Amino acid sequence: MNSTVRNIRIKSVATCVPEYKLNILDNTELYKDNRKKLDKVISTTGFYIRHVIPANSSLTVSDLCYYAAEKILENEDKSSISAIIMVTQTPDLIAPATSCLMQSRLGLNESVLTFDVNQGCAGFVYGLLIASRMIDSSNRKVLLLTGNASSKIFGTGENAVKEPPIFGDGGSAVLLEYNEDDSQIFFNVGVDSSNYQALYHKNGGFRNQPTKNMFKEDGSFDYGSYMDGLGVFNFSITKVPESIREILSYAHEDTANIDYFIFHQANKAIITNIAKILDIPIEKVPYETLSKYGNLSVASIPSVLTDMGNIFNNKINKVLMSGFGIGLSWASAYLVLDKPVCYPMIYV
Amino acid sequence: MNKEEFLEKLQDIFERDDEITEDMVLDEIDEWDSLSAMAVMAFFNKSLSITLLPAEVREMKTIADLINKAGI
Repeated sequence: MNSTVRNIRIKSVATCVPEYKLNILDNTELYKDNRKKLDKVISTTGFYIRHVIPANSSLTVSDLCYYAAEKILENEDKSSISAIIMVTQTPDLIAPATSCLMQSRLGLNESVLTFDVNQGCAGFVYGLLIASRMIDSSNRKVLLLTGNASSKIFGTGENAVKEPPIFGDGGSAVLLEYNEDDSQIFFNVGVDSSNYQALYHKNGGFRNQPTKNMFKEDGSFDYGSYMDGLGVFNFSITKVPESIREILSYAHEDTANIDYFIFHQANKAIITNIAKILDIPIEKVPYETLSKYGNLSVASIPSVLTDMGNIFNNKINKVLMSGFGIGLSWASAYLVLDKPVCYPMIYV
Repeated sequence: MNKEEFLEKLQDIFERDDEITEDMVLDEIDEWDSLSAMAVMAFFNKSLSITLLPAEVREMKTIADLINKAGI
């Protein structure tokens, strides 16, 4: 669907990642110690360092989002927040929703509305659309939390799922507020679930409830995660350019007028190929963030804002954001970033 | 694009020093892996306006199959 929201601005952004990190060079056995192959993987995909929650840590994605939220709320009147929306696929509990737990933890009013959204790599833009729709002149501020602790699914210990070594853990917090100016945010979102099995976690829900044979030798749960890399690649280089063309037409805008195209940091090959297909100059397309932190899933687009804070803090930029992945879903947004406060990366 | 240009392009995509010929079996080419398959799919999409589906890629056995799909 196409949608336009008015009078909304992104006021501040913070992202938090675990201090602990893994280096792709530590995984040489994955490539049978073939250094040439590993170098090709690094140069093609862009993956290098991943920040992940250590195997023995109790840290969860809500902790990462909490530290990010505390940062952006330190100079805010907390009673002015009317809703918390949490977008994640690694919630703390099956129920209640993680957003619900955040109300008391962050010390927000009991009158706050809370709910979770189960979305992945398209989830930041989904969250942006939903949050924007909940803001008006009486409910002026909404806290959008987006993050995944993918290591909790894939593992980081001895028995971790070794392939694909691409995901990092991260949590972001974004404060959206009512804006008196006549600003507009354009959205294009969609889903094609006919091929959802190209990327999914099969076990642990209520279709395939946990049974004894779903546990690995070390006692950890096997979520039955599966990714058809070529399938996801094909989806990405087909659907994302379509979505970008659609939103540009909808917004009567041209690529030449856009300062930055912030794509979900899936991998360098996907991002650069989308740019090529759309004839976008590569200098308008950041892809360095994924080399520093890994694919942060729902937190990857805000992590680019965090990473490029020196650019976004000081100058108004026209930005097109596009997330895509599990579902298979996609979501693009075209907006003017009016110097949001982008805090430096938080490490815990 | 003629056949020679197409084969040169594949050699470039595969980052391969040696020439690529029509009769080569994909699985016997050292550089043929999921990364080069991605690059081939992107090349078909951008330069030939042909959508190469993952299932089609997996079915392909030789360079000749890629040439046929490209319609060259």
